[in-house]
Amino acid sequence: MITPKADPAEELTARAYQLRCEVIEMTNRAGSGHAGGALSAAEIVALLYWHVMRIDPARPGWEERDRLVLSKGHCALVVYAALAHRGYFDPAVLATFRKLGSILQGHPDFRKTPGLDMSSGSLGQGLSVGLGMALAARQAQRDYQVYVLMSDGELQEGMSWEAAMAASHYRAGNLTAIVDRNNLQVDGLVDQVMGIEPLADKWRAFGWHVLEVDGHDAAALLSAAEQRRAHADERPWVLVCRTTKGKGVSFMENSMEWHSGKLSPEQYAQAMAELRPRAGRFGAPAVPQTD
Amino acid sequence: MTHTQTIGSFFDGTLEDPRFAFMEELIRIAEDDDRVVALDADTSRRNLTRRFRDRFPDRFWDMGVAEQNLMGTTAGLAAAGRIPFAFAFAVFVSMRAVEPIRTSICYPRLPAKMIGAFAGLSNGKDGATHQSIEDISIMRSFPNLVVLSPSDSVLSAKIARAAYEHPGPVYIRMEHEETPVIHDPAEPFTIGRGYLVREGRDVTLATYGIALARAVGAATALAATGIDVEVLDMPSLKPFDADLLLASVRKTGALITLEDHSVIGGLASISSEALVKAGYVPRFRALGIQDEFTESGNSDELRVKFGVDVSAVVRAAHELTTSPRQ
Repeated sequence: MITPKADPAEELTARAYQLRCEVIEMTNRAGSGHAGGALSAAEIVALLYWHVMRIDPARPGWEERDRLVLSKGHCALVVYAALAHRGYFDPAVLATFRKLGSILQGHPDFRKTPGLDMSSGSLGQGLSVGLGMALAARQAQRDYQVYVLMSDGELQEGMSWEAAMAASHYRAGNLTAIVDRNNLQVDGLVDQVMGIEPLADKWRAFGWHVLEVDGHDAAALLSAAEQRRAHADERPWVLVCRTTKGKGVSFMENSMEWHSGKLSPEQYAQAMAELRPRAGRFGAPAVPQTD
Repeated sequence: MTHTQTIGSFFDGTLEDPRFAFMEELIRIAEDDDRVVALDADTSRRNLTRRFRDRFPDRFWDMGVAEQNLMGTTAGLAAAGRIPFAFAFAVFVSMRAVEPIRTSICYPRLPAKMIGAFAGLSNGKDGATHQSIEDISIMRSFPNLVVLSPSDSVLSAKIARAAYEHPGPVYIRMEHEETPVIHDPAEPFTIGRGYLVREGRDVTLATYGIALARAVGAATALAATGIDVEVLDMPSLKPFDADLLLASVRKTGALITLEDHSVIGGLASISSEALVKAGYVPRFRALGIQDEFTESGNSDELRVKFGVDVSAVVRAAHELTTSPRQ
């Protein structure tokens, strides 16, 4: 079947909803998992894996590849979905998420999952790791880029700011942080639990280029990525993406109850009914509904 | 393979601080392999990483007073194919930076090498805040991590190379203090193997790090009183040479462990675990810091106060050899 060439923004959005469908499938099958923050990051992850990162799924260990450190490791499921649909492994494997013996651990284990560039899950460590990769690229005279996807809550970890300080000090212009600014953490609103604003000013004060963007607006994300690419210098970049936790599933949106949790059969059916039509030509379920 | 040495060659008057030999060897390694890089946390003068920086300016990063970021960055360098050697005070490596080490280095089994400086009582005058008496206990609990402690400058150079050649993470406990050169440069070092330094029949005296010189000194003193001490140097705390320890203890029936470290989780614990696992319980004295915080003072004064000096070993050996045999 010949498909007309899609508009990149529409394509990105459809991919994001495909990833959201998989997030719900995985959460439903595992009976647990961090759906909320995975749903908020779907466009960001689709942007990176389909529009930005220089990668080759046939060669996960390719030295010249761009790297992603998923510092908000609890949202592994949306990255697993991207890796599967990008061709690193069979999407049927997504059904094993969080199960004993699976290559898809509750938090990322790059020794187990093809396509992951780092193990992660303890919040606050990822930007340091990304900095190390960025310095390694320079020392090895390679031109790859390093991306670090962070949650807003993890910016409460002091180590994040140690890394922010060091990245500008060492002029890590090949490093990009992306903050999934969904303003929800386990105990409530980030602004109420432990405020992190003025966030853009904080990054600027640490010597970073800052872009603020709607993290669900595909065209805006593509434009931000292009702006970052076109203005590469010796300073690291941060994209602060304003997002909605639980995005795309009405009863999960902006709900702190859905940081993690288990779906009822009715909730699962409703979530899929809301998400699947928006996935366009990627909307077909990848795996059967039962194990 | 057991490494045997004679006691006659021991104290020829040469005292060397093991950190110098370590850095000289690391620079030699780095000359041949440009994947080798180094980092420090505002201790580059004391750790001699400035020498590395001066030789390889684009392969060294001082991360400032930020040990967590030091180890996170080290993890990223290792994940991207570099072989980083990260230096900081042992107290801060093993405590401030411990979770990045556990989760971002040990769990992904990355080839990062962490050097804990001024370990044990070698930073005497700074007091308890800077004396690392828990690092082995903490570090040896992590899967994939090799834990090493050089006892002199010969071993410290060999350990630098062994750490480089080992494909996974390594923690190296460095005591910054001049100490006699005891090991024979011709003897190989192998991760997981200890050294039979002096043969004896009455008591096994097991140790590691620069306490080895005190162990040898105590053995010499005890020989004059008719107690024949077998001295073991156990630089590989993990993996541990349980076979060497067991063979010795089965022969002597008595064990003294000597360490500038807490008896909780250090060689006293490691030995106890190995002996109980083997179903053999000898007469036993654990010399080390007895579950208390230390204080400021000259390093040797502290060793007397906390019972890890030569005379403490001599007392313990007399107690063990006069107590009834099991």
